Amino acid sequence: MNEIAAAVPQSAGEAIRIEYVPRRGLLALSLINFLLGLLTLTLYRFWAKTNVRRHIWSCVHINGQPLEYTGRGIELFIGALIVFLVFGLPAVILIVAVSLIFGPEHAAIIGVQGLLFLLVAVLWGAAVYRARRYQLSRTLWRGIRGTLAGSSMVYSLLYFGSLLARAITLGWSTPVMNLNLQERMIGEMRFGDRDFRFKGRAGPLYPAYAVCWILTVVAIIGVILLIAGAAVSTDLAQTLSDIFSEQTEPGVGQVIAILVAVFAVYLVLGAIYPVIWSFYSARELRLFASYTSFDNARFSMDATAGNLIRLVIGNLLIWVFTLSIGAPYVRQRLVRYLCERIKVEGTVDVRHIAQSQAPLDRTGEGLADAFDVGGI
Amino acid sequence: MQAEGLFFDGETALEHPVIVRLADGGLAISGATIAPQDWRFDAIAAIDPPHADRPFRLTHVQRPGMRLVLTNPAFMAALLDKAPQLRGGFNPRRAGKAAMWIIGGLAALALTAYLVLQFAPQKLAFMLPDPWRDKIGAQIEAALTGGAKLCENPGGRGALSAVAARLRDGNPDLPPISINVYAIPIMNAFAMPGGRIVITGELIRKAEASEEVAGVLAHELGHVVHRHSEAQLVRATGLQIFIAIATGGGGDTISSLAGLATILRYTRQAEAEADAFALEALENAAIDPLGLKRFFELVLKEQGKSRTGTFGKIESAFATHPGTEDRIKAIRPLPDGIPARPVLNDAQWQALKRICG
Repeated sequence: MNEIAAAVPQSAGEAIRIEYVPRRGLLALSLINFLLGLLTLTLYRFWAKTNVRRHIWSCVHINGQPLEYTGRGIELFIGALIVFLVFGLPAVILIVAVSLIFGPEHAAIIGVQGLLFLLVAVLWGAAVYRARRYQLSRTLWRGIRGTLAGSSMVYSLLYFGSLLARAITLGWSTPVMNLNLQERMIGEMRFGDRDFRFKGRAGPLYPAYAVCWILTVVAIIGVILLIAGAAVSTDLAQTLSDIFSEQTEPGVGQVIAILVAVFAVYLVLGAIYPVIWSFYSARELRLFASYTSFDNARFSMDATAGNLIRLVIGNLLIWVFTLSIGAPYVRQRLVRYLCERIKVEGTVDVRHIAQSQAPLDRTGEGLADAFDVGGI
Repeated sequence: MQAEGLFFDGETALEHPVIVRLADGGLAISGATIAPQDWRFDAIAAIDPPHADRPFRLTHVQRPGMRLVLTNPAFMAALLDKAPQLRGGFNPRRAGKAAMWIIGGLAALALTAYLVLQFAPQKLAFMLPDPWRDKIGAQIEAALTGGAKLCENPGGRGALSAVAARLRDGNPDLPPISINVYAIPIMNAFAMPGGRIVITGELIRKAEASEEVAGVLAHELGHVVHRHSEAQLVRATGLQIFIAIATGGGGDTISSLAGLATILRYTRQAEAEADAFALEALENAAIDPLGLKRFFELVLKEQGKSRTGTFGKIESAFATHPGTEDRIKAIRPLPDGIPARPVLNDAQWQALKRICG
């Protein structure tokens, strides 16, 4: 072994270059996933997600070598099954039993639903953390996998605390809370046996936050005034109340008009919010990237409000107009965005990165599936 | 034949340039920075199927952390000849395994469907505690009748009780029931969990004799005795839980009584059971079953009159139920030797007709 070690080139480290090299086959994957999803009452989603990740991961090249996703559909399926048995099923049975015993409008049901909501809020962070840990542990680069070395429950409590703090401060603690969460998540992230580091302050985020917060309040007031104005100036309200009270049978034209209107409101609301907050998000992405380092490499990210808006609105339109069949393209655009915008300065001494010794989770993402936590 | 390649040992992230030689039994991998490796052809596995313009990534089945990356097309082709399993494509063993999974999945689905839709409802319907049945019944009655006026004319209610009491002659084992009449402008009657029966004012108005009302009541009693509505409720809940499992959603269970029509729409078998019960009960009580027959004929006449609104939908769910004509044919008069006794006297009948004022 000594001869081998001596033969290793003694360079200080490698510069890191991230590229997205697209591959054919995502369209076929989208259609197959959609069809099998229909045939299996959405149960195929675990295998669909796995196939899409395998495809997208293999398009991410770091210094010429692709990432490899080694997760399996069955692991996600069993993870979801376990969470359903210990969490979902008892919750459903509890609500059914309570509504049978007390009747549907009894305060006890609201109490139970409140408790379940609280439980979800407390566990949400754990769902995010464990899903990230699973994905890192199933991601190989040059044969080495990643992991999260911390405790999901600690992260979950921190996450819950951040929710409370945000509510109490009307959102104004968000930059500090996001920084805390990111610091913990990145600080506990490992590639092989090496840790990522995250250090920085939330102060520089506040000007962008203030602008977006005020714009949001203005936008909400504007939308309310607009709807109220439309309802008064037309007989919209009357028509709707007639239809709901079944006094008139809605015509086909009216039904289509209402559907289009609902669709438009949904699109506009879904668009206004991300557009406003993209200014803040871009600032946060840039700052958080610059706070992150690995070995002797520092990160930077070329995120701007403009390119973030294009990403988010484009994804929203793909999602809506392909009736979610294009979901793999949404994920691809997201990963591609990250790959093309993240730059790494400095070097990584690859010779000294050894395989992670963290135990592998046998199942994955059960809570994340139950709560429908977003992600790739 | 040999080619250049890259080797990753799964222990460190270091990239090892190697020379790979196609030997007799397998690949011989050697390089300045690694201990030489011999990979037997049948122990090599492909990470992705081979593709002309992509590097070919391989691993060893017993050392799954290792990676060998080849880029030389001629060498890849030669290797594929020696180790055809790397081509991917159709694999009888994998196809067989997939077929087993599909068959097993379908069998599990069929078994679950049977348990959820047939077995559990019939068993659980008789296991629901009475206070629960009563609570659910009250909810469903409130949801079904909406804002409709409860008909409370005391004389009419007395006459209705007399019809029920008359049915208990000869049928001492009837379960406890509560009957309410609501001023609903369609002709129908419903049996709900907990022995609650709702009759519409329109049905009382259209009825020409107390035997018709008694016949309808006997039919609804059949549903109560067989706990058909309880079974439907368990079925609907089970279905929702099943869908929640499949889609991973929590579902909001039976809290939305929008599934009302589903719960009150019985199967043809359930209707036949209720009819059979009604005929026997009427016979035991010596009430002329032809009243029930006239009611069914009236229902048949009402068919085709499409209505809108919630009541209309519930009515059409009932009226378009297949087999009304068959059910009419199945009704036979009382056997010889059993003389029919009247259900109500004239004064009582007139009071019942005025129950909604």
